[in-house]
Amino acid sequence: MRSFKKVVKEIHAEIEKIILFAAIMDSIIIFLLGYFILSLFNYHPLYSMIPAFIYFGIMIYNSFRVNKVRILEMASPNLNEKLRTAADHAHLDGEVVDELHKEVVHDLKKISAGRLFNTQKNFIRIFIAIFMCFIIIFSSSLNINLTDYVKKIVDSAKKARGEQDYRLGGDDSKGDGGDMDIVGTKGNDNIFGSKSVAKLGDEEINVEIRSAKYEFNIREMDETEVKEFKEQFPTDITPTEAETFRENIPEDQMDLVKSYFKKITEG
Amino acid sequence: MQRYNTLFENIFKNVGKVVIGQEDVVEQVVIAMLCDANALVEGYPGLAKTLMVRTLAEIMDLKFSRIQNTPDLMPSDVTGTYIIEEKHGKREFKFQPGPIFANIVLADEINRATPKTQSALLEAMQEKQVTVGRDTFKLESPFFILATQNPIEQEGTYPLPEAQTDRFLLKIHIGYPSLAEEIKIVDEYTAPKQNRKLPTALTKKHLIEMQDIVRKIPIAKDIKERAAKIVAETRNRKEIIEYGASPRASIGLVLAAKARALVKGRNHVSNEDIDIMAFPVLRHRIILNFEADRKGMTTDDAIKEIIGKIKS
Repeated sequence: MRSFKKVVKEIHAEIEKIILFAAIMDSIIIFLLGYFILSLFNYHPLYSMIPAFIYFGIMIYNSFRVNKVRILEMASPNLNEKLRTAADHAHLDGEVVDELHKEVVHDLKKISAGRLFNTQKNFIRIFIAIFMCFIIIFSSSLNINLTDYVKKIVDSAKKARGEQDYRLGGDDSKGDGGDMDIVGTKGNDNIFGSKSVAKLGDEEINVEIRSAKYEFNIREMDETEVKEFKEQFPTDITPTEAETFRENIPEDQMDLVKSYFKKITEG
Repeated sequence: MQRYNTLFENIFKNVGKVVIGQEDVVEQVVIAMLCDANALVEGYPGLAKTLMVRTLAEIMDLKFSRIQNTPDLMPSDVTGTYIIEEKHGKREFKFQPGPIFANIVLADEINRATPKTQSALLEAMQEKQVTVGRDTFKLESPFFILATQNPIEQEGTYPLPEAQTDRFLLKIHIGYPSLAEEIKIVDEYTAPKQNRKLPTALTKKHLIEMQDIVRKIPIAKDIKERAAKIVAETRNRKEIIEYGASPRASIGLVLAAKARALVKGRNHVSNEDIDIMAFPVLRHRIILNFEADRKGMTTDDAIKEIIGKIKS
């Protein structure tokens, strides 16, 4: 029955459109969510397109495999088993099959396309997408960067566990006379090496680098001081008159040279 | 298709006037007839098996005969034999058809007949023909055997081998009626006798046509696959089933499901048809193992478990 084959094709096309719409909406939500999260942690937000595209691809692949007739049957229970039987025998003719096709077409006419479209689910999808857009706009205006907060939390967690921050030349520095020590490594990694004797010509000299006897924290940095410089040009530096170049040509040959250059210029 | 539903409702209603209760059994017997197959009914004596088949034959305008199987019943008693007849002064052999030459044959207590007589019956079931001497006689269509056997009193019986029970499309369990039905039966059969004539609801021709329509009923691919999976699962469930059903059971299950769809006035087979028909189609085709017997499982329990596992 040709007309029923057409009906089956239409069913497939309609359901594919609905699946495609849902897949696009879900992918947009994933993209927006990823965009928001990545922007909070100072990563390039466009990386969120990767999971969105992967999800979209999976959904499209699944949409080819899914039994569309089953989806329609679920939407209208009176077509249960009847529609799939008719679809499986769409290419057949016969008294019973024709009657089944007619019955199914009659039942299908009563079903609006809206029944296949889950309005509530799609409304939620659209709402989430709009909400995410607003969140992204709002967060970008506040310039939120969670990386610093995370670091602070990690630091405070470390402190709470009794670990100390990275410091140079702390009280617990070991080594002889002012070796710089990385705290937390218990003085084993002496970046200056052992004290040594340097030679200057034949004379031996003792060189000692003194470590700073104060603590500083690289995390606690103040704002840089803005220094203003006056533009002063030094008065004792003046340009001198350039000396002209004089060639040491004997006076008796000067006329000869002159006539030579004159001839060249004329030529 | 609704017209078929009305027709069968009418048949069941008329049978119900004579046979009180047993609606499922009547439906399954009709299904077997629509499939042009045979059925084995297992039930205790006095449960109106003969009455039911006789009533169905009357309603369908079919020739009915009954064979009471006994150990001394000979194959010729079933198939018929040659008798000497004198014609124009000459003696000739003339074939005298036996009770098998009918449309509906009730083979009562088939397990009491000797294997030789059983095989004569089974040949008729399978081939729809009987061979006597050198002659083969075709049986009139429609031909349907309803064999019965008693689940008790196994002494002095010749139980049907599994290979032979496999030839029956359905094994129908006939149970006791409910109390209300029993009271109604008592009322009906203790009242003054009425000469009740049942109307003919179906002719031979219509029955043959419907047997053809049954095979035309479409079945969805996934439902067909499920039917085959259910049958295949009986072979795979080694923990409870020793011997599973053969592919003949798959054919029978789909065909019986198609017939049930027609009886219900549907132009397609549903999963419900498969689920319901799986019991009579499979129960005589599977043999439980010792472990299942020890647990007190019946074949119906095993089938129920399999149906539950292979969901639609």
